[in-house]
Amino acid sequence: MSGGGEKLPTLRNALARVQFKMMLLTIGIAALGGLFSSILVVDNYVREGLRLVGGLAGYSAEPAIIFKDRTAMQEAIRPLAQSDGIRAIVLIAGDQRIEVRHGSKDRFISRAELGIAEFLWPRPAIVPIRHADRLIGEARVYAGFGGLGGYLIVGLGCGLACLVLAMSLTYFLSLRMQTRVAAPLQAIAAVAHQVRIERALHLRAPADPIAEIHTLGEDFNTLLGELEGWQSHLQSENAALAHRAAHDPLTGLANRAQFEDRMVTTIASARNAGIPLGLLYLDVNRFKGVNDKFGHLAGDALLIEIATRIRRQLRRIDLAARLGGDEFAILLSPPSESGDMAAITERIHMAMREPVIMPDGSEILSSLSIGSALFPRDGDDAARLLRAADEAMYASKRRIVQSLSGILPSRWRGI
Amino acid sequence: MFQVLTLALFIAHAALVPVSTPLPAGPAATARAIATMVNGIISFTRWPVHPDPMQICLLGQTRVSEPQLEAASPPARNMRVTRLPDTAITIPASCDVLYAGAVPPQRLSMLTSRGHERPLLTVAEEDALCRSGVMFCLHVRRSDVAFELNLDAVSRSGVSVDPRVLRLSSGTAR
Repeated sequence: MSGGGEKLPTLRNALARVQFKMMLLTIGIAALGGLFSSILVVDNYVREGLRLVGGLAGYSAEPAIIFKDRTAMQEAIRPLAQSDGIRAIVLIAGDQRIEVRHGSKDRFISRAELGIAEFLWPRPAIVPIRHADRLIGEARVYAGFGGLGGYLIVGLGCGLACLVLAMSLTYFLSLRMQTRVAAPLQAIAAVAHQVRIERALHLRAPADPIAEIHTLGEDFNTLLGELEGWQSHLQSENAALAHRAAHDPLTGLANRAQFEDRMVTTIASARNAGIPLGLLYLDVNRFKGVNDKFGHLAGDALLIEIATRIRRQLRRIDLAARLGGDEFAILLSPPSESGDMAAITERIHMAMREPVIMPDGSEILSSLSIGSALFPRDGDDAARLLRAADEAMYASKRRIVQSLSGILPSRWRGI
Repeated sequence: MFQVLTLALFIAHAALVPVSTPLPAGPAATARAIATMVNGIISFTRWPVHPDPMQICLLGQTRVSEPQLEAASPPARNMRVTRLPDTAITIPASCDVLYAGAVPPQRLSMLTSRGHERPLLTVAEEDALCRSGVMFCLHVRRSDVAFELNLDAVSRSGVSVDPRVLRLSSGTAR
């Protein structure tokens, strides 16, 4: 896929090239074998034919030789020399020598044919002529181009036709093979590419009737499945880690880091939109006393219950956080007016009037000090706003401590 | 009338074909050429039963002698040459070949028309018109020896002549 600089051949091309070479090799070997054997056969037939013609020439010319009639000898062999397979016939009887050559020599093609025949069969077939068991002469027959020419024309024609047939058949077969082999591999490659580009791990390679490709596809799919499993595991792990990083482990509320991040972004968008935004700062009254008196386990239980009650008073879009120790903060989603803040503050105070049941079954009554600040009135960035809410909370706490000092009922345990 | 018709048929049947053999000058050379020609004719002739020995009967004055004929024959052929008396009125049954020299055509006709109880090859040396009923009529010329073939006589003779000789004849018709 990423590959080197030059373009690699595709599977189809490689297959087509291999098939083309195989076809050339097969046809070449077959053609060479056929050509060789058929040349041997043709050569054999030509020589046999020459011997037959020589015998016939001797037989025809036998009386003429006996009667020493030169003209009759010529007449006897002339018809035989007209055959296309004959270049010349020579009769030798005693001191007589009769030669009859084939056909006309004025045509270029016939001269070329004669040249080829002379090259292929330079020597004649020599057939003795006997009369009454006596050798009276011999016939020499020189081969012409006819036999070979006919074979060449027919053989080449058939060869070409077979070549065309073989090429077209191979072409169609290779097309079939390419679709049977290359297409499924390309499908798998396409899936792999898609997976790489889009991380689409849910994709699967299609099934295939060819065993190896089927196995490849299966293995590939199994690998994809494992990758998908790992990825989802990683994702849930990541999500858990992210949650842990952004939340207070005890109460499940957001932690300080996430709260400050959210404050910055929310203030920025509220500033852009020009809308107000409310922030509440909460502190558990006399929490240190609860810890000291009932132990840390009870303190934790109290914090968890307080977080639950606070969350219950909020809308889903508001963000509550534990900033640390016994301090909580609430970022109201914009737009939130001072009226909204007051209503929520009141609801939280109301919710805290119910006693909290400790792990050991005892009940304690707790309360919160709540300060509020409004963006942009009390501060135009996160730090100022937080400080303003913090100050408001302490002011509120001082008021409560002043109003309650000395009149706290002694029957309540704690506070 | 009848005779004229017969004559016409006779002429029509006789394919008078000259076949020639080149001839060096001189009577001895002529005789050798005739002997070669006669032996060639014999070699292309088949008897129903091959005669052994083969009896050659000479009639009348011939240009070729008995030893010359025997000398020209192939060694395998057991040939005997005898001379018939000039007064013979039939061809003896022992003859396989009749070679007629200077014999008047009428007499030759009479002899051949009598028929012969055995197959007989007939050759005439001095029948220029080839009407005496012999199968092969030689033409002895200054430069060569030729023969003409009487197909009618061939068909009545009881011997068979190699068709290549007949074909040769027709093939050399000029």
